Amino acid sequence: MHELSIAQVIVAVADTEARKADATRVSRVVVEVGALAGVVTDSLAFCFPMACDGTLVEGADLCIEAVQARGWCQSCDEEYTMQELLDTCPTCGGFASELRAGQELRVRTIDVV
Amino acid sequence: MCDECGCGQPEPAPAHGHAHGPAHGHAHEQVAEARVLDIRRNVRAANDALAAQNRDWLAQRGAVVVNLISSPGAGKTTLLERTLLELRGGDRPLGVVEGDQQTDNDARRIAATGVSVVQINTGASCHLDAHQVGHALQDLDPPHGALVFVENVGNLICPAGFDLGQAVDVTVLSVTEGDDKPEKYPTAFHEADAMVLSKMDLLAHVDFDVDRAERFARALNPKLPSFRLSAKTGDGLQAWLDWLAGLTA
Repeated sequence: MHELSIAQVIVAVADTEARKADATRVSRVVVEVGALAGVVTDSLAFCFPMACDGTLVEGADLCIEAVQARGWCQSCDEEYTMQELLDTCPTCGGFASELRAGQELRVRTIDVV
Repeated sequence: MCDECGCGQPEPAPAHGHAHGPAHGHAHEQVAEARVLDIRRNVRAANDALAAQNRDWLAQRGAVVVNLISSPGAGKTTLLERTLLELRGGDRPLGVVEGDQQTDNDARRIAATGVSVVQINTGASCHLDAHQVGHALQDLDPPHGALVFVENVGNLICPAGFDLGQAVDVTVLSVTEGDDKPEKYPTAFHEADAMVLSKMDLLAHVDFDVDRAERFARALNPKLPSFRLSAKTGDGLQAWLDWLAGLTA
């Protein structure tokens, strides 16, 4: 949800960091998006060029690295991959006791010139 | 300087349209070599930092914030009215921050209970954020030890994703909304610290399986307390009031 605002924040972070590094432009932005971060990556990719317009990030490639969601089953003491919050433990069929990964939403690196 | 309210928050980079040619990002066009900068910045960092500031501000006052989330019409305001009528005059100061796209209807209802209230109108926005709530809390100026309710914008999706500095999140689901809402809108139940099943006085008139709703809510959030109540009749209210009384800074 709010992929345009998220894109705007990503661009603002990248633009600010590029200026701090005395760069003239950003050629690539790498963003980590967890599978359960509540972000539609297609929408984010669609919104990104709009958000870049007029900044040092204009023209940059957006690389979205998907982060797998992982749940932990207390009964089995096992972690397992999840696509949805209600995905069950493959061993016992129970629901996850804890979500251990998958809600990440961060700018990891930028390439600047 | 934040150009919404001049509060000192930095502005995002300007996004003006210019008449540039089509954007290119191909490596072979570059003369200078690209440097890779390690950033590791959480996209939600700005809101989370303000939420942390709100949390500190509240902690200094020993105040506790309860964030109420639900779809529009689940009964948040009526639950609040009833709760405030039961709690006012007791030991603990009370306060409310109301969030709606438009109108001060809910703030007026709360004001009629005699409890201090501030209304936020978000305009087009579908959720409250830490910036808005921070300012509203300052306007509300709750006394030491206060129990403050934030009634979020009616929306079962977005509010759960925005930290406001609250102590707890309570998701309200009415029996007229369908018992599969935890399955359909999992984030609101996964992130909650308690669930209220409201309008229980209407249960006989609807096909709502209370056990199913709670079962799936607990599948998402194993220790989630559930309060089955009617703000209208008062049935089930005491357990809810007792739980609120146990929330301390």
